[in-house]
Amino acid sequence: MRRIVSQVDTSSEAYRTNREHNLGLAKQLRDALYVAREQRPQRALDRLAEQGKLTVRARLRLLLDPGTPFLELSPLAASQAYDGDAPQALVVTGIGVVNGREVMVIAGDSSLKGGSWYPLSVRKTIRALDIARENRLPVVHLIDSGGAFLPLQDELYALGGHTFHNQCLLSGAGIPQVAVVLGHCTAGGAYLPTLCDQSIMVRGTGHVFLAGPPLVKSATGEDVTADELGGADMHTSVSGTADYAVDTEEEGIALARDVVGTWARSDKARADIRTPEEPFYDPDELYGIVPDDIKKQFDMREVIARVVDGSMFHEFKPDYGDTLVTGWAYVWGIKVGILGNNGVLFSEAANKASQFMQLCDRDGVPLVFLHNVTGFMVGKSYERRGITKDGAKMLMVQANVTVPKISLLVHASQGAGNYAMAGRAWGPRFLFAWPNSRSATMGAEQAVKTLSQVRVASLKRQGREPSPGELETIQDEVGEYFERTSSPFYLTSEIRDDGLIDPTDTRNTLGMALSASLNAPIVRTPGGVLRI
Amino acid sequence: MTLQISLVEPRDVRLTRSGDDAIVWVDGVALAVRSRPDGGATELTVDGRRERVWVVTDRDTVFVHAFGRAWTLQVSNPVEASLREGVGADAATAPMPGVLVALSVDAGDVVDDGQILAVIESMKMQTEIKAPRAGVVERVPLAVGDSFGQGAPIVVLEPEDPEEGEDA
Repeated sequence: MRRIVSQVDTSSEAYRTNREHNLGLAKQLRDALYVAREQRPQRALDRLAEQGKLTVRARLRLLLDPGTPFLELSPLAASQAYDGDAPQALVVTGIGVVNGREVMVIAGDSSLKGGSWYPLSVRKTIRALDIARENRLPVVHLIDSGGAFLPLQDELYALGGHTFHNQCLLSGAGIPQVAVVLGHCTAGGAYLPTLCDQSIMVRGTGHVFLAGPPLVKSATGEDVTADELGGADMHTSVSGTADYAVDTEEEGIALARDVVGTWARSDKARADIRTPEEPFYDPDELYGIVPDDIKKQFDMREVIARVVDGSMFHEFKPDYGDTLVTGWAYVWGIKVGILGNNGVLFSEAANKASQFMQLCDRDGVPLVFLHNVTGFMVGKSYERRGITKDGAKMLMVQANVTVPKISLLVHASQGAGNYAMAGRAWGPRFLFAWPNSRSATMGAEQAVKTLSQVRVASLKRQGREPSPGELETIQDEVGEYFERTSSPFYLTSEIRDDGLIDPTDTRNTLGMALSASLNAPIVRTPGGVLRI
Repeated sequence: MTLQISLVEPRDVRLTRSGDDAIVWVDGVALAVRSRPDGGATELTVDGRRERVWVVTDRDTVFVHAFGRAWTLQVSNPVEASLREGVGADAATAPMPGVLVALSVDAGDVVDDGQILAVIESMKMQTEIKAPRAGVVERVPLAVGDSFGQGAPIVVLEPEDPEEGEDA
């Protein structure tokens, strides 16, 4: 491996402009995170206190080992949905360290709307359970939710079933779960703690029942209190539906930490690991490297140099298919194979990618995809040389490698290029995005051209020639729609990624994601490496 | 692996690991060497003599501060040198078909290796066209707004004097 030689001129005008632009986006991200995590009306906080409940952040502080990192997932989920009524989708998910073990934490936030499950809350929970299953991470549930948000029940009823289905599959795969019941678990929600291997209930606030007292009254006429129906003491001493009853949230969370300590430690996959080393180049310079315009290119090696250990990189096949950079490096001491775009994908670049991914799969080396891709090259001569066929090979190999894949949207991620680089649908273990990134079927400019042509043609078929004013309106509408829906802040609100990250957090984020991914064994598939 | 290091005169340097330490062979003479990180510096022990040295590397040039003065070394690694062969063509060419959107040089201009010469737009991207080597611009066949095919020369450099190339 050789240290990457940076060509960045930190005194250039472009560097300063980029830096200002990207620092602005980083601030926008920080502000949005503050709103999602911390900003609550005083009356909401007062109500929690009256109920004797802690905030979800206070609960997390009690649960996680002090001084250890927490990789929060999709913290901006639902930030642009439901008129802002459900910040962080009213559930916090993330990977943290509890009693020395890496676990998935799923913690309800009842400060607003009683912690109701909106469709995006359910999607976020299911995504966390999928991550736990794929990476064999034990799960700690801190349950505090009023149940399904009924005005949107049609959007979440069928979807919600995946939560409980996932819990059963986790148990079937030998991955433990513990629940602390800190609120009502009614109807479907009653299965959430009950499908965990162990569960803890807090007296007074924690209840588990298929129907609460009012519904029981109307169904059968029976008069019953919540504690009689599904309180902590009843379930732990009579029905056996839960295992431990405690008086306070603090005791419940401390007990959950003990329970995690009784579980078997996971055998981490055998990976090439060495002592970590900081990058030689300052990650702070990333702000000046990423351009202020989605169309402008930059050398992905400059990003790699500010993420990997010692800025050391062994580049594979450097002179072939040079619009894709491939090579090996270490991130927090874990060896990875990196694929980074340096332009549009040509046949040569796609074939190099296929060969490189097979090499990494052979050696059990996780793959990191750094996206800045507008697609595969188009045109007659490229089609004749088989660009579609070579792209298909890249997709085929990428989909079937068994090593963990992690994707990061560094800049553009458009068209089939997103698929080839292990976009969301291609099952990367984790997918993160930078706040400057854009992802859509095509760029906004191309969409404006294509869609306005379609609309104009349709008007002409009706015998109408659009006026210049009408044409402008059409173009503005299309442009606005594409800009809005390819924005990373919109995409992360819809959980199309596992979170937006500040560029300078890339190394830590990748390190934690890689470490988590090594909890699942890497099964190597036999077969020769094809020099495609 | 043998490296050629030029200081006052070129020397052949060979390195062999010996446990945590190393033996450095300079022109066939063996020296026991130990190096330990020491803050931003390196603590180097050569045949029992200890010295703090600071090292900064820029490609093949290594700047060393030690023994109260600074040294500039040229290191030639035969493996790296052979990997880098093949660059240094006489023209900066288009990696793909596109349109020229910016041009920053004209015939007669002196350019550095890697200097940005032009910007092209293609496939929704603006790509910088950089000088393949240092040299003098012979001609610029295109104007801003022109379109071109893959491999088209964007900026042509004057042919390199082979003798001069050896020295550079």
